Amino acid sequence: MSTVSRADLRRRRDLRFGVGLSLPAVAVVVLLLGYPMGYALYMSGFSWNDKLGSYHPFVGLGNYRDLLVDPAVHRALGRTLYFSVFTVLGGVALAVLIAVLLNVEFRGRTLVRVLLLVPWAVPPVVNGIMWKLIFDGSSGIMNTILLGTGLVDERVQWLADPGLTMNVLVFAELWKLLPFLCLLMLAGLQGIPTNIYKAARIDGANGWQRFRRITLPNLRGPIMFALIVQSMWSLKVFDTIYVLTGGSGGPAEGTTTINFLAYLTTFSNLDRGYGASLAVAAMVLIVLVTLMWVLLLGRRREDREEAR
Amino acid sequence: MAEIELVNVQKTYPGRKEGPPAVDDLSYTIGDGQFVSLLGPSGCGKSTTLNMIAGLEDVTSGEILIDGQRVDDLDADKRDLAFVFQDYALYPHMNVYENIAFGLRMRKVPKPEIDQRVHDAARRLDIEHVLRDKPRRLSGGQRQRVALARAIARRPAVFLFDEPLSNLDALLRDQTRSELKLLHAELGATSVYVTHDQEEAMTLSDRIVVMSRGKLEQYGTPYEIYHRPATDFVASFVGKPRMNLLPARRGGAGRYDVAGSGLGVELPLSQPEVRVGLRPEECALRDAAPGDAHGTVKVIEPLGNASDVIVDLGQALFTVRVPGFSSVRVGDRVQVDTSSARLHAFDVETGRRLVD
Amino acid sequence: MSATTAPRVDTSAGSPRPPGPRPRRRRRLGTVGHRVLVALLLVYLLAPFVWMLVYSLYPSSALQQARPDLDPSLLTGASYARLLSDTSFLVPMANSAVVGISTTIICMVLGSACAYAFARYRFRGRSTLLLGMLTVQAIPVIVLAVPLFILLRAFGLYDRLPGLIVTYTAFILPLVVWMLVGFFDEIPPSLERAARIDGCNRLQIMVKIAFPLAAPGLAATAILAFITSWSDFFLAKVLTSTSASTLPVKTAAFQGLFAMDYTSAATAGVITAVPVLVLALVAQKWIIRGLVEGAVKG
Repeated sequence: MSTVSRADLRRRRDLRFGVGLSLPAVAVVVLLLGYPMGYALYMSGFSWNDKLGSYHPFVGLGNYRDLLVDPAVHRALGRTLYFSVFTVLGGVALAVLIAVLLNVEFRGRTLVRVLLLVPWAVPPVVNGIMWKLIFDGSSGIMNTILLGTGLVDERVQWLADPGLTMNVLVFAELWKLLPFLCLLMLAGLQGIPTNIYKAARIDGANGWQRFRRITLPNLRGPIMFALIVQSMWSLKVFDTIYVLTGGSGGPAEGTTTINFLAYLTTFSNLDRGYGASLAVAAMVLIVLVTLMWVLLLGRRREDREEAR
Repeated sequence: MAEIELVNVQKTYPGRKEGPPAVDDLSYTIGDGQFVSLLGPSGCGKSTTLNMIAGLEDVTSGEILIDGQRVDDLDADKRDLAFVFQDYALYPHMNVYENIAFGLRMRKVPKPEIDQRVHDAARRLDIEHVLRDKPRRLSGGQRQRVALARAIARRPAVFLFDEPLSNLDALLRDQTRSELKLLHAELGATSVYVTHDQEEAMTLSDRIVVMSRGKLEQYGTPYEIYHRPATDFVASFVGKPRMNLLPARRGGAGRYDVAGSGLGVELPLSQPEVRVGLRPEECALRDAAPGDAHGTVKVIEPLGNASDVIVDLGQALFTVRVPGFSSVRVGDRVQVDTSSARLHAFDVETGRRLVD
Repeated sequence: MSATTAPRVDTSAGSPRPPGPRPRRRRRLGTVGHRVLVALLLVYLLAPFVWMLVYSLYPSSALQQARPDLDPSLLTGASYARLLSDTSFLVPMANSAVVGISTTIICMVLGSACAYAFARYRFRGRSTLLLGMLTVQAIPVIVLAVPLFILLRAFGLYDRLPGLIVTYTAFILPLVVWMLVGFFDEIPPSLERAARIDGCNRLQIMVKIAFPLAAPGLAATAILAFITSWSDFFLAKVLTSTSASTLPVKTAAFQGLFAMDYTSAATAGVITAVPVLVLALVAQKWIIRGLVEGAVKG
């Protein structure tokens, strides 16, 4: 009898210790993030525009209904899609290929791997400045090079043309994220035992087949993680857009993603209610995309067998 | 020095209440100063038992007493025992000296005494010259000694060992085994030693607890375990090469025949079917005589001082250990002589010993 | 064509498909191939930053010509001198440092205790809580901007450093916990069992065994926390005005829609980036372990 209660006592003390250690952190996060989140949801149910005065009627889901048909929102979604496809899919695909290339021994390999962290560590604001210095229409180095080598006849207005600005943005973001994704893939590649490549060779598989049937399936975990994390980052991009476009969201809204649109609505147009609903919509979008990746790539039973 | 007693000790893991318990109704006493091994295959519950004695796992029901005091509700650090882990569990961020001294420091032993005990233990195990090194610089054998020194310095009433030699290579293992035996002779402390290697258990122990699937199969001296195994499990687990266990059918009063081999034995039993056990090293090979098994030699494994000859008796394989290098060849027809072998018989269903 | 001894010349620069035979890990690329590869990679990784550095060290007139004049005699630290003697630049810089260090300390104290509890005491819902930590990353900061603004205003913390510290703590804690759980998980359980037998209570095990063993991971996580705090732009912009402004905000202010002081912007950019770059390079081995390998296992 007393044996049981003593063991229970210990378990209870264990639990108390564990809870005591973790409670402060959990409490801070829940309070400081949960409360504002709730408030944001609350705000999104109101028609609350500081420009129009202090009357805030409750409109329930009205803001959401509006944003679903708002052409500005549609355009922003289109740009967001364009941006995300290139940065997420392009980024992960390139990362896999580059990681495969980097996975061999070569002189300077350690140096390269150390420096791979540089783009990741650069603050996004500075990233914007760096690329602005390069791509600015009147004084950027890119134009100087292009003119000097005779590839173009006159200065390209990279940041004044909506389409070009978006592509500059894609390039800037890819520059920043690609090395980190490569590191993820490299770590995944090193987890694959070399013997199975030898076995595959003996079984007669050529390089491409080995890549498709051994490398890719074994990289499923890191690839899924990279896709999810990169989707989140891409959908949240803000600082770079701000600096590249001077806070405007691009020439003719060329780089106004859904996230930036929420910012402009809330802080430029002072339309807090609608802005809040846009922000919530952006968040929902992120969650949906994440779920999509998990459903598409989550391990299925047969695949687990196949990977053996 | 202490006597350890287990009374109806049972362990069931929560969440696995439907299956058999991890440790099922163990009761035995380990005498003061004795070296007792818990021997069995993996999963038999020997490590769980050790952890319960140590206080690292809770007892589901039953009692554990050390020197007559109930300890099963005491925390691990309040029981006076030392534990040597299979992976040594040395603190990587402390040097050898601090590793050994750590337990003493936690128990508020005065500093000069700590120093004396650490050096004493280190000297005994020949590691005084590495006291200032960190574990990662030491070889496997040295780390093992540090783990032992840590236990010795504590001067506990009881030593607990959890397969301490299994991470060493074969040569080192044999050496350390002899040293352990010497150490026990010197220190004389009560020791409980978990292993799956029956050779280790036989050479080191005063008594052996053989376990299988959570149950106690036999508790006895090495002699008893070897010559009077209580169950067919013990019979086949202890002894190398494995004991030959063959089913035999009653052919007449007191006579049992091993099917399809011509081997017959005399047993004062009445069961229709039994399992007969014969140790390979107690049998011999020779020319034909009535009542012996005939068979064909299938495999010969020479060891130097002896050879294991595996004979195909038709419906079963029989191993005989002959001295030196045998003159038989694979394919020869031979007879197995069991006249000088000790006969064991076990119940077909329960596995229990049937003869004296 | 699985050549085992012929050196492979890597002409794949720019080619989208992987080269023929799957390279074995120990094989060396051809000398030409690998030199090209390394050179390209180094250019890719460093060129943008180097250009910004160059821009900050030359007068802008020299750089904006058709052929930029990089004569070393024109090198000047004037831009740096100017910024670093300007209080309106120094104050945000100091603010960033103070906020960064404070946030890091608070996050590490609360976060390491929490992570240890999660790692050591397995309980139902642990994986959901860990997943929750990752989910926090999914929240676009814009969602919380206005509510936080209102919240901080209500507590009188708008445009004050403590307000920023508290906010950053909330965002960075989940990341800290997530990384540290991985590091604490690596400690073999037998060590903690040995410590129990040696007589340690729970707190002593945590402090004397777990923390020292996870020290490199703790350091890397602290650096990561600092980098995240230092680099933030959006929250600082929304939640501060003149007195608690931080370096990224000030740096961004150097750019404008129409006119721009490029040299100052470049200088500010370099000053903003260098501290975190140095920290990242110093701790890179452990940062990679914490972030990347946690991901691979997940």
